[in-house]
Amino acid sequence: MHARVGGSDLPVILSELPSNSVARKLAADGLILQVGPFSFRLISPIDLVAEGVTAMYADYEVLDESRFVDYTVTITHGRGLRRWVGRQAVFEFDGAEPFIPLPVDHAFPLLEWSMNWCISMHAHHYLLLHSAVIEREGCAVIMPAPPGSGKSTLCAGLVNRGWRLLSDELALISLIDATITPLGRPISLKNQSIEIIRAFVPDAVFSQVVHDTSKGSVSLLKAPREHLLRINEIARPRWVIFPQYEAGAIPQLSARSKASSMLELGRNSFNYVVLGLKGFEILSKVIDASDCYDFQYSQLNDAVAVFDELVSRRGRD
Amino acid sequence: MLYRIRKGCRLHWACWDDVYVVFEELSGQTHQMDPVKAFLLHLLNDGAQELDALVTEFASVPEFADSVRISALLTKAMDELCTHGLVEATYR
Repeated sequence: MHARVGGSDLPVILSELPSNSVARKLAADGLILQVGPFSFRLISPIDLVAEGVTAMYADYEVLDESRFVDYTVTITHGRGLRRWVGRQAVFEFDGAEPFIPLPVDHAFPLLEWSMNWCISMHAHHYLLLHSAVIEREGCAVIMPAPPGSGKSTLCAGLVNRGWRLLSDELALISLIDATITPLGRPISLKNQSIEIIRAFVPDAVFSQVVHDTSKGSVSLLKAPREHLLRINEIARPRWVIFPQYEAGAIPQLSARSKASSMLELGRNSFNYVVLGLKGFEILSKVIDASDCYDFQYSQLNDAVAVFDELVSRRGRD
Repeated sequence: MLYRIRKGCRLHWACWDDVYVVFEELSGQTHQMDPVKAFLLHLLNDGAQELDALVTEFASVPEFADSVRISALLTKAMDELCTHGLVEATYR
């Protein structure tokens, strides 16, 4: 979708749409958004989805109907009795329901998880790592880690202290040259991390906190607008860092072997096995280009200092 | 008994700091290898060999001069390679 301004076409940003237009589009034929390299048609009659999309995707480009859509994600009401009693939200994709229905107040997190699922199950033109990725001076840090390791908290802290958000959840690695394409989605925070980041970034925009999900309490943090303006700037892998939050720990960056890091990244990939030899070759390139570390931390300010030092040290090396 | 690279296996290598990573195309599995196992696979890549012949090859490397120790080391390494499905034992 483009607006004609001074004789040239400018992309339409979601926040520029008339009020109620987002909810109307979502409830009708859908709202088509450009999200990183993917286009999503989002369809939902559920008010909580409209609220979440309006708040979290305000700075994303809205595409018109003539554009190709990669994924159509529908979050709709449960059928029959579940529309009225114990109301549910259901994710539909290509006529299937890949997830079990959730309580209707989980509808917006369900949309986010569904979008992640679409990419991780289908975007095999990238090597997909379950990992946060941030960038500074063209160099990317890949941070794979299991749930509870503090990956998203660290990512949220760093992208509000000088690092650019490429992704909180999925590293999109080129199968040609191992560069990383930004995805630029909201950051999913859970439980205590929500209050930690509220305190660390007082002017941050959060979605409504949803309690009692399978991951506990969940809230999304809006991606910084200035990072979305640079969404087409790829980055090169430079560091692979496995973060681990440990209460009371002093920050400690410990070198780890490239071979074990490669195997661990492979285990954290959604499609390394699917890609076969190409996956091995690309992952080898990522590791070749990267210094690999384990990182233990407890305080975000300490972590920021350690990551900043990585960049300055690279300049001296 | 002869050891050989398992039929159909195609190995691809990466190496950092004397630690090897090998991707086996047929199974799609990736394995981490120490230099001993990596060298064994390298030797077997040229054709099937008996354990004694492999011990002799290793003995030519100064770090592996103790042939009793090498024999035990190679037996264990070969068992692991067989378990990973990279090597198979066969009879003449």
